Amino acid sequence: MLLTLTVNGARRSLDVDPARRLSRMLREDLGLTGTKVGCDAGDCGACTVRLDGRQVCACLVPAAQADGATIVTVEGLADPDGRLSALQRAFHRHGAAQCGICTPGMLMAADDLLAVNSAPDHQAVLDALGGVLCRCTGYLKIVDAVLDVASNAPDPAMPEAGAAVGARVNRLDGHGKLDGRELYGDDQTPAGVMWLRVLRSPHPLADFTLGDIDVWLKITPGVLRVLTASDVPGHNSFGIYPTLKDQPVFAESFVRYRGEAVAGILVEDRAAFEALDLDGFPIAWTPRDALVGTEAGLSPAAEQLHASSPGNVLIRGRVKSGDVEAALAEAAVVVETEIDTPFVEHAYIEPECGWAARDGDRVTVWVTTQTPYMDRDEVAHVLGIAPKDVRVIPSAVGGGFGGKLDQSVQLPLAVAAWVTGRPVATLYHRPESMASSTKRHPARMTASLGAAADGRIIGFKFHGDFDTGAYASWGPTVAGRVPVHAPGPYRVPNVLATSAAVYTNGPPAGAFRGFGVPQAAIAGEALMDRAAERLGLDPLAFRLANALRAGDTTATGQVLHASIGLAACLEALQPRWDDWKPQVAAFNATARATRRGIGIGCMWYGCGNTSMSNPSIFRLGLKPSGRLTLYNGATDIGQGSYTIMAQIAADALGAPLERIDQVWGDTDRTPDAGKTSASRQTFVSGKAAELASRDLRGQILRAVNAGDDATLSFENDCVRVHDKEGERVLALTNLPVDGEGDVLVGEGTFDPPTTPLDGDGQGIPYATYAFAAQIALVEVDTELGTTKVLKMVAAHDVGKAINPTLVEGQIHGGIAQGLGLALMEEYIPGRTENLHDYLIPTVGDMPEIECILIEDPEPLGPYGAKGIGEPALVPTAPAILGAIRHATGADIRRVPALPHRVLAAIHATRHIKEEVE
Amino acid sequence: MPTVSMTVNGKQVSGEVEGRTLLVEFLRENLRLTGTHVGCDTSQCGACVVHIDGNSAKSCSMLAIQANGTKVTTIEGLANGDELHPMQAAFKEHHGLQCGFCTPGMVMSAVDLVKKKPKASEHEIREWLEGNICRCTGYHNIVKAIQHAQQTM
Repeated sequence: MLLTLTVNGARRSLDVDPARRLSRMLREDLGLTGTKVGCDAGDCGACTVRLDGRQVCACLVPAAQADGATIVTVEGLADPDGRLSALQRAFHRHGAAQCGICTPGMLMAADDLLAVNSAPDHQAVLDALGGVLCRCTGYLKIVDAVLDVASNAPDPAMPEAGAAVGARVNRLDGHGKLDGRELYGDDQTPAGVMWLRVLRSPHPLADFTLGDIDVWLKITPGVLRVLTASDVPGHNSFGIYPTLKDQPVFAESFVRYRGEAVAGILVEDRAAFEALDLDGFPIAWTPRDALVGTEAGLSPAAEQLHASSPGNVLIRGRVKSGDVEAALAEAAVVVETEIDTPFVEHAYIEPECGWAARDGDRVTVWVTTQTPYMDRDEVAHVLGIAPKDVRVIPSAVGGGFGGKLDQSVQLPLAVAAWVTGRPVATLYHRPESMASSTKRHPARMTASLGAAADGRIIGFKFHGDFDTGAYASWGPTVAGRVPVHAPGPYRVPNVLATSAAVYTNGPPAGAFRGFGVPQAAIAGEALMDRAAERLGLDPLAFRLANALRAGDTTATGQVLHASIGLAACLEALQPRWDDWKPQVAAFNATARATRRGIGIGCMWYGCGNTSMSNPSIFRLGLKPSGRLTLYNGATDIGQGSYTIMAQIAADALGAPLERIDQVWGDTDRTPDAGKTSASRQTFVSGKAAELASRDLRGQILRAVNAGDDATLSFENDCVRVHDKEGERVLALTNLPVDGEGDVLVGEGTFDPPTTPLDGDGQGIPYATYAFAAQIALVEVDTELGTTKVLKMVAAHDVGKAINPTLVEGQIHGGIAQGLGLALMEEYIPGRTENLHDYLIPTVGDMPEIECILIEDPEPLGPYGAKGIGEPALVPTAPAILGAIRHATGADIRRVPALPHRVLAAIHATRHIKEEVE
Repeated sequence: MPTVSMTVNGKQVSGEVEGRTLLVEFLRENLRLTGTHVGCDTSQCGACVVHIDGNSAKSCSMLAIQANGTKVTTIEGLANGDELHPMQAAFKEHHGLQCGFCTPGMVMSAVDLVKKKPKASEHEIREWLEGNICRCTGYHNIVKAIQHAQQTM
């Protein structure tokens, strides 16, 4: 039908299918890709626009409904000259956008509120934003931004040369996230591409036979070709570890999990892609009994899922020091627990998407990813070509959290582009994304802790079976990292910590913010609470007394020398903790059905790969124009590495931040900065950026024979160098340029020093550790079993906060995900494959959060900095679960602490009290 | 407001609707064909199943404009005058209904099944009916009715 409407002030007429989703009409017909689509089902709110003033999910509005209407999208917020609106500027200065994929929806929801209420209170903001999900920020900075619009405060000034590190610089890539111009995976698909739909298994374990595909092709309109395992030109296998490429691009004759890729169907265009009905696809399934859970996987009767793994044990991890059995035998107090945790979904709001094109003997893949260099190598392996013939260009990434460290669309796209010679695009729909992608490992853990009568921990024993699902993915990383971290950030002389990653027919469990450490911390910290109780000690005091300090030796035999801020974190929390205790007691003295409690969680986290080389390489180039280019391969998935790296590079060079331009994450143009994982980018890539910058500085100083203490000033054709001998000028316009147009290029490489772990896990697994402690104040309804987290205080030793606003953003977001892990998130294949059955925290679930940044500098890190991404999440669930126990006595042994489990645990406590102890 | 046209039970109809008008609203409120029932409005119960170009569909979960230009059959269009459709007759004979609220959806689903899979096994029949909820009968007589209609259709 012919539709006439007003979009962002302009009158538009277009002929569209009246049932077309408004979101698609805006994005595809009008080119307004600032409106994002996260679920296509009205759950996430990323597509929120204003229709005749009111916020609506554009994915749920038929185009016909917009006839005659006035629509405002994120592109309509800024002035015509590009100046951001007061709302957008408030988001910018508060750091309210991280990955930015929810930001357009958040902005439009807030814009609706502010149009009718220019001075909203806190609750009004929560109500207005309640329909938009954010997985990065923990919402608090978004709420702060909306409440601060009226102040119309100016942007923070850009720091002067040498003052960038430590400054609250606005995100350097923030503008595009706020005005809708940032290009995510589905925002820059070239015209005329084919589209690819992946056919997936509906069964967790099944044999299959393909029927007559040629006949199906003839009777199905719009379909060009079907790709199966036999079309993969190189190796039909992939996986994180070079010796563990156990997952096929397309399954051959049988599948090991629900959601596994079986075939790729190529269609002519996006309309055919959306319309494609695979119900009649010629495939016959013979389901078999699937192995669900580690107990089934480890059962002697279980079918062996992979030839190389007898007993379905992918790998084991082990750390042993001292004699734990003897220690537990002589301990004055021994406490034990068993904890189960479920699959957890990353729930990034941007689903997997991208496109690929072949050019002669090379292939280019544009994709939303955390790991462009691994993607490059994996595509090369699958195509049977050299890595240099693959170019991976990361799009802006709408959230990752570990989930975009694995291959998803990259491989089928590359195969399709390679074998057909035509460019091809794809986009997973939400249930497909959730069914096919990796998850956090479910863990079944047993642990015991022994302490002496004087309150010293003397022994810790731990075993965890981790459900690694159908394929290895990052299972070995989890199995290796967990035993190192399981004893917690404490002095424990006698440790035996073991782990097993177990194959099952669950979805592949991979990397998810913390690599198993959040699960292990739930067990370990629960024991800390119970040991303190038995010893009659305050839980915080017990932790402080046992906290690792300089000179202590870890269970792997590593002596810690510097940057061990746990004690400082606990001391910073002490006043809040002491305030809360009487408040809680007073509340509980009068409350009836509701009870309040407080809890504490501590953690340590090794930054970088476990006992493995993980170098980053950075380059900083100087152009004849006097401008600088940072070749930044540290993929920014919202955490802020685009900004952090520039802040470090600017100060190491002595140049103002605004002098630096960036090329980021293009494998043809940026050197390998490794993965955005393991909380390594600030520590490892940041150091490489610092070294590259110092290298360039040295070249400039040598060129004019100036000393180290010289100051540099970059002008439009030269660098002026001042030192005590006066001014010297390095003219730039007559110097030869390289392929990127740079006249000088500094390069820096950093690989954190580690050593291999022996059979008892002895060695130096990490060059540095982040430390943190968080405390939670919760309220539990003992009749309903519901838990509301009221407040959290998070103290984190980050070495040095390169950008405190970004660090706080990581803490808020980590706490949101930790809260989800503790209270609501549980992925069940086939049942919670969407964002209405799978719950993640909304703006209304968030507690008040106070961040305390401890800066105990790490000598190896850039300006003393180390990681924060994963450390932010690890202590949260233990603190919340401890608070539930403090409030009610309920010992939660299976997370999430859903209301029925909380009630059951409360009732169990009443029975136990009548028995022993 | 857009105009939609379609053939409903063999008769050409058209009407002005809002873009968001559901097909079931158009059928019940514009055309007064109230034989198609609404039990949940969220696609769980299946009481609103009709045929669109011969395929069963939940009419509460599609827009009227999506049915533009199609041939729609509702429960009212199934019988031939006073002569019940064989599926309706089978439901009657085998007591496949009690309160009757789910029955239009059940019958429309079942007709689609028998057309697509004339020899569906009992298991396949039960699987097919997964999208139709009945609170009265316990389903057994519905399955029996469909098995009977497999012979008579």
